Amino acid sequence: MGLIDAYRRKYAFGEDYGTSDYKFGPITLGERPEIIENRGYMPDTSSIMYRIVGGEVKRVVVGPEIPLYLEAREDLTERMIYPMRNGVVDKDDKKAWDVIYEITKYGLTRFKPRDPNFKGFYVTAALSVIAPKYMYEKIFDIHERIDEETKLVKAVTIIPQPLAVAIAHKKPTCVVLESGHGNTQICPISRYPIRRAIITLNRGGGDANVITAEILKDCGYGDLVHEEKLVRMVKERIGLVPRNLDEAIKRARNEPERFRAAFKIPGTKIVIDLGENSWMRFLIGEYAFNPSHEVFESFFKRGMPRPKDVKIGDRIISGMMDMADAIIEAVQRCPVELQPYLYRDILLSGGNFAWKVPPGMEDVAVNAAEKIRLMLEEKGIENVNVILTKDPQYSVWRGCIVYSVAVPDDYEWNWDRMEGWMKFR
Amino acid sequence: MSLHAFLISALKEFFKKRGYQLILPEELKVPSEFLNQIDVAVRDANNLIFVKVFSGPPSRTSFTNTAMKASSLRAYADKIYLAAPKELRIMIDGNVLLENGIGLLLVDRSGKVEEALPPRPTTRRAPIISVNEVATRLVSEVRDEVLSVIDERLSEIVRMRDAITALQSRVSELERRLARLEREIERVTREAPRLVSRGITIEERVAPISEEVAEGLEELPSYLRDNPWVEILSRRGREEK
Repeated sequence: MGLIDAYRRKYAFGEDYGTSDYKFGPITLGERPEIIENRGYMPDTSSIMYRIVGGEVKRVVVGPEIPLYLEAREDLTERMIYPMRNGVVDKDDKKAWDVIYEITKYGLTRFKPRDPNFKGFYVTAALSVIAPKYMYEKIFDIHERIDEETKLVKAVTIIPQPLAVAIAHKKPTCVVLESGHGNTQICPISRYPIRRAIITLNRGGGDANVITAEILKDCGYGDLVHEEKLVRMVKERIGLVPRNLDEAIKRARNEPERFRAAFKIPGTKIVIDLGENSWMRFLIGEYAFNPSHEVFESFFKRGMPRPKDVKIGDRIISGMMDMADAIIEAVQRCPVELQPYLYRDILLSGGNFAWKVPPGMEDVAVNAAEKIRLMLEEKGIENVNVILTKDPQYSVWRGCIVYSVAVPDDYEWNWDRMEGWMKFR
Repeated sequence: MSLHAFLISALKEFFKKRGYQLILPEELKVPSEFLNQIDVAVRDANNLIFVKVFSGPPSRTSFTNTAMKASSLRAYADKIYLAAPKELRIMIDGNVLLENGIGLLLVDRSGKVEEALPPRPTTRRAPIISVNEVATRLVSEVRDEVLSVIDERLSEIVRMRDAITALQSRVSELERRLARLEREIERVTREAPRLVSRGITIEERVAPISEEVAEGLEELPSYLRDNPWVEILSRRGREEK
């Protein structure tokens, strides 16, 4: 047993299949995983050049090699595959699964050790909490195939991303909010994820980008909104989360210079200045937490899409639900005795919680943790400890590493409990 | 020797070995503004062949521009080739060459030249038609036809190869699932009789694991040190038995 633990201290491996990025690597990387974009490019296999150079050209290209293979710009949408944009991959989406296979193989082979005693990694993969069972089967299939080809996988297991966050932050009882580009998962945890209490909001950083684009259009920068990267940059630079939206708008209108939202896009001559509409910068942050505020109605009426509802089993979760209500609903689905302990630690993880407060604006703007605390307080939930995770990008991977190190080697995968090690040899 | 000079030297050698006659630029009846587009000119019987060498910045746009310039020579030659270092092949847009009837020669580091794509003969010059020219044209037309048939068959083979690969992967997937099911049945069968007698030994097994995990904590990353989950997870699979 001692030998096995020493082995796993070298060969525990984590894989975080995020909506935008794939974070991966062995325990020996220390605090930070390696990161590539969770995407793959499929070169045109019918082209004459593909046939000329034949086997030397890859069918799916992933990682830093992608730019070398890019063809015409119009092909990009069709040939660039982002397999996990919403956390779930369709069972029969062959292209997406091919990309996931290549990404996984890329990650594992990149760290192939030369040690003659190496018998394969103990791999813990993390998926969205809403990933259906067939995704688990497919991920196992992919690892089995890779192991057949490379002997790099000694055992593999799969855990939900919020559980990994709780593990990384050493909190056995807590509520985890994991908010990425496409969605927000709210998962109460008490040693295990409490699956019947999980709430998923179909709302993430992408939705804050949508309202940023609308604001840019309203302020005369409509020509810039087609570049998603630019809109995201504007959101990150000028978007603010208000302590109280009505109060913030009032203050910003009275003191326009103090709250002026203006910045120059690096490397260009473009300067974005919201001028007298600078109060709108507070709408960007508020929308991420509470899109049901009446101020957003005018945007919806003008055609901005509302965040979509999501169906989990036979339940429908409204995309418009504010975050505090979503937390309360998730906690209320847990045993009453447990509820106070869950409120004691609320972990916020993921890029959609990375809101900054510029110096001097602390009286009006807040960070994500304070916003959630205030929203819960308004609804009568007090004494909560909301924690903004450090290095939110790496939390899931770190939790995977802990899981790989700690779960006993002889605990075989159990489909009823959805845990344990799957072994192929 | 610069890359450009190296490529030209390799190409001249290639054509010489094939029995083609090298032509000096001043012998060509080509407007002067086009002369700098021709890096190598050779004659094969009555066919005039021009080669443009691509050794510019390694980008798809740059290659496409060079191909378009080479295409402007079609009025003065029977065949046009574009030549490039072999390591740049992944960024070459084959469709641009195919649409313009330009052939492709790839030169590797040892100077070996490979005809990756044959050119399509141009339709320039039709003044005096000799028997030889008629024969040459017929040969050329027949060859084009043969090439087109080969191209179709090649496409068919590629399609069949893709279908076979998809089937193979599906069969492998099913085999793996079957093997997993067999292992699962085997495990359940193996564990069923033991379930009743297991309780006694559980505590004995749990303690040493947590102790071992505690060893050498200073070597571990921060998120593993003093992490209560380590003990919780190390009991997984045992607590209910």
